[in-house]
Amino acid sequence: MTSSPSLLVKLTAQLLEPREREVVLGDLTEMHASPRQAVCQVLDLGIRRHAALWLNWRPWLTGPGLAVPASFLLMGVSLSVSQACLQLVNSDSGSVTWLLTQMCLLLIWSWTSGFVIGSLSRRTLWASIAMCCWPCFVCVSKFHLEWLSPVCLLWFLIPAGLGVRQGLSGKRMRLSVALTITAVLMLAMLLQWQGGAQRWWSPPWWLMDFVMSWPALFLVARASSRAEAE
Amino acid sequence: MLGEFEYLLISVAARLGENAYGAAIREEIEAMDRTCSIGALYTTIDRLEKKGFLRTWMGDPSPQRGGRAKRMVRVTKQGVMAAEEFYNSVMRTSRGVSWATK
Repeated sequence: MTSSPSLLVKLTAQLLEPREREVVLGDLTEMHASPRQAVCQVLDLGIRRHAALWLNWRPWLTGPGLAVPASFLLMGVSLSVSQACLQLVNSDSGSVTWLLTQMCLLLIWSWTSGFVIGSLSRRTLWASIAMCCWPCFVCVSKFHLEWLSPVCLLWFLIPAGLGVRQGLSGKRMRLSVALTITAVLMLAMLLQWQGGAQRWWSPPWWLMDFVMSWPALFLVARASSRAEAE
Repeated sequence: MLGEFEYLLISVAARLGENAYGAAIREEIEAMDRTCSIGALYTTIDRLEKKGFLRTWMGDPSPQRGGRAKRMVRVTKQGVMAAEEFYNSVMRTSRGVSWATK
């Protein structure tokens, strides 16, 4: 390999961390590896590195454990927000309190889920995003309501994306803020369960809701460990 | 206890001394008719560093590497002890066997 690697080698090397990329490209230059050899060697290391990430519990927790089920639930909340909006606009039967509860639930739940995904799975973020996209794709393709666009299922992606960004920045939260977020989320969830008649899913799902609110509890645990450390 | 490839890597790094870094270690290993991919090399170096048998740091960039830095490697005391243990164990268990007396 020459001192300036080919575009394909450069692209493959994106699989590696910047520091390791520099070392490996330097080694390949020194070894005078052919472009084909260089791509194979870099690909081999990249695959080993990415496979090793999955030996950790974090990508499993944030991907199959959070991104997939939370996407389904949050699409439900997104739909509820859209329905509540429509009811409020089109008829007198709509309730502002119900709409605010749903919006609060959507914002906090999506944001905390995104925050946890961003802070726990930095290097496997692409996999968590793919696992979030899969339920979205399935539901959007099967969504057929004349009076609602399928886009209304995806409102949750905005606060979730902001949460991911915040999580990636590595900032930790104050305990008081984490506790407030969790308290508001639980309150919104309780109000939603009370107004269950208006919900589109059946009662046994409340347990799923509660289980899937673990990102908020995770924020509290993390903030409290930080507070103890300080 | 070390694995065979881990022992090989520590031995080569110890022999190279101050000049031990990724490409040089790989070249030495391949000179022994052993194939050694960059993937196997660096994942093993990482594993040995986690075990405390090696220490690595970024070296200076050099022109023959296109101005890119090396990952320098040094065997630690624990690494030397682990390699000794592996060597003694192989020597002990090989005593009296046909291939060892050739």
